[in-house]
Amino acid sequence: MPLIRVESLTKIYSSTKEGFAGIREVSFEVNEGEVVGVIGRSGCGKTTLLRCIAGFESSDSGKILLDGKSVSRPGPDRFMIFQGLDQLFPWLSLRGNLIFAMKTVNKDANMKELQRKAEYYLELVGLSEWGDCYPYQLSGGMKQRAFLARALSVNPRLLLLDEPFGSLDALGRKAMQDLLLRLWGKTGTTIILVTHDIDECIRLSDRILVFTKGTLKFNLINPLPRPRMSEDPAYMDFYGKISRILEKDANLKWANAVLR
Amino acid sequence: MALIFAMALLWESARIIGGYSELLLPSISVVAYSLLMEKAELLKNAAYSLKLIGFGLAVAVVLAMLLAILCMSSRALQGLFTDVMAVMHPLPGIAILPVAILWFGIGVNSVVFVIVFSAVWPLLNHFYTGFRSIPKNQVEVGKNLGLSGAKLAFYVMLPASLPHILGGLRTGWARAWQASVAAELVFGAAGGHGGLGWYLYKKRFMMETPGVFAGMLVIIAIGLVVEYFIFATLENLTVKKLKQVID
Ligand SMILES: Nc1ncnc2c1ncn2[C@@H]1O[C@H](COP(=O)(O)OP(=O)(O)O)[C@@H](O)[C@H]1O
Ligand SMILES: [Mg+2]
Repeated sequence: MPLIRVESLTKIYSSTKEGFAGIREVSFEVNEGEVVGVIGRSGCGKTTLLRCIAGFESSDSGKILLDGKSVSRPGPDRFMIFQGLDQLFPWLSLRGNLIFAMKTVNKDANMKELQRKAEYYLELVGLSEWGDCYPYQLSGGMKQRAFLARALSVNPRLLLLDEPFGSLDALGRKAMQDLLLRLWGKTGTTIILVTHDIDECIRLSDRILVFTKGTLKFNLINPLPRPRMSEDPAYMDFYGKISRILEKDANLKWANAVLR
Repeated sequence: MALIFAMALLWESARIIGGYSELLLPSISVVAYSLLMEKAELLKNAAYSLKLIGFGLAVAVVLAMLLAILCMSSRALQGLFTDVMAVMHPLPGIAILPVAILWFGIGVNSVVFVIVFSAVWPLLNHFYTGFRSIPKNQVEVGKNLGLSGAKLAFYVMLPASLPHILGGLRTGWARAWQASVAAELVFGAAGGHGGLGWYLYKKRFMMETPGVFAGMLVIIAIGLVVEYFIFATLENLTVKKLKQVID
């Protein structure tokens, strides 16, 4: 049985003659331990999909099954990392944020154990020395790592990442991608990763869902063995394939032509 | 401290140079003597005033919290209260006293009503602003962790809007304090019941000028203590960590 199964999921905010805002009739499955990348142009419904799975949006129709059970409300079994850097509670220290998350999810946990686990997850993302700091004292990259530490600390079945490294520069991005792969190797958490960066998607994902205008166009297995090198001809082929799909999606074909 | 000393100096020199009678401007020593003599009486009346304010402020806080939550949940109410607030906010609390007397008669109920009325608008304004300023992501992290309803409000929304809530309490307290002293002063004329305002009225009535000044000093002292000791401490304990919430 797949860990998560999405069946004919439809969520439409508004529609006009030209098209609609949201997602329509989306179906796919994610197996335990997989990293599934979701890629598509801005506005094609990637965030909407994640928010539906996380339970923040109620769908118009269709089903979302986690372990065969229908989900409708948010819960810590599907932990989402949102876009934006304001996700830590500013009145708690970094360690406090992790402990609060774990305590909320598991009310019976004893404090010693929570302290120990907080240290463990901070160590995992390289923030051991920053546990006493408050969010305003952390840089953007450190906050991103803190989000991952907190998300992993509540031990979710599924991690939902919405363009998690979008705000970082190229170097920071690369470092975070490597970190995410290390964490994934260590915890084996199932991940759905939304991105608009083809390289990021190929480097990280086992499977890639390509969205165009609110519909799932392709469900591609990533044929490349890890670690994936962009110099590899097979990499370039795969990149070209995704890139062509996305280009076809462009309304303004001439704009691309001019750019080229 | 230097400021207090300078003011004392000014007071005394004004008295000596101007040659005012003790009846109009008593000397500091006389006022201090009166403070000492009337200690018990002053304390009793201060306690009475503070008790009324404490009760009134508590009612106003609960009321403002409920209204703010209602505003958050309904567009129509939100518009309504924005308008009502625009009208009510500049109205000095004491101006509602005639209405309070009509509704509640002369007595404690009217004073409490004036206190609640003075405090509730600035409180509502601050609470509502505070709730609206909470980053959506933080609320959703709370929901993602499984919190909802009262728990979400208590563990996430309240601390997230704490700077605004403290600001509201500060303004609400100042408004309530002014209004209650004023209301008590008026009731002094109407039979009296206690409180510092009433004490002032009584002393003035009996031409005990030092007592009037002693009462005013106590009013100033309580205002200063609450403002610079209680609220400043609360803010240092929280805003120190929370300064980033406002950005
Ligand atoms: N809460 C909402 N209300 C109305 N329209 C929305 C809402 N959220 C998203 N949309 C619209 O739905 C479409 C898909 O949005 P989104 O899922 O955020 O796209 P993506 O994450 O792929 O950039 C966009 O056209 C967006 O404007
Ligand atoms: Mg998005």
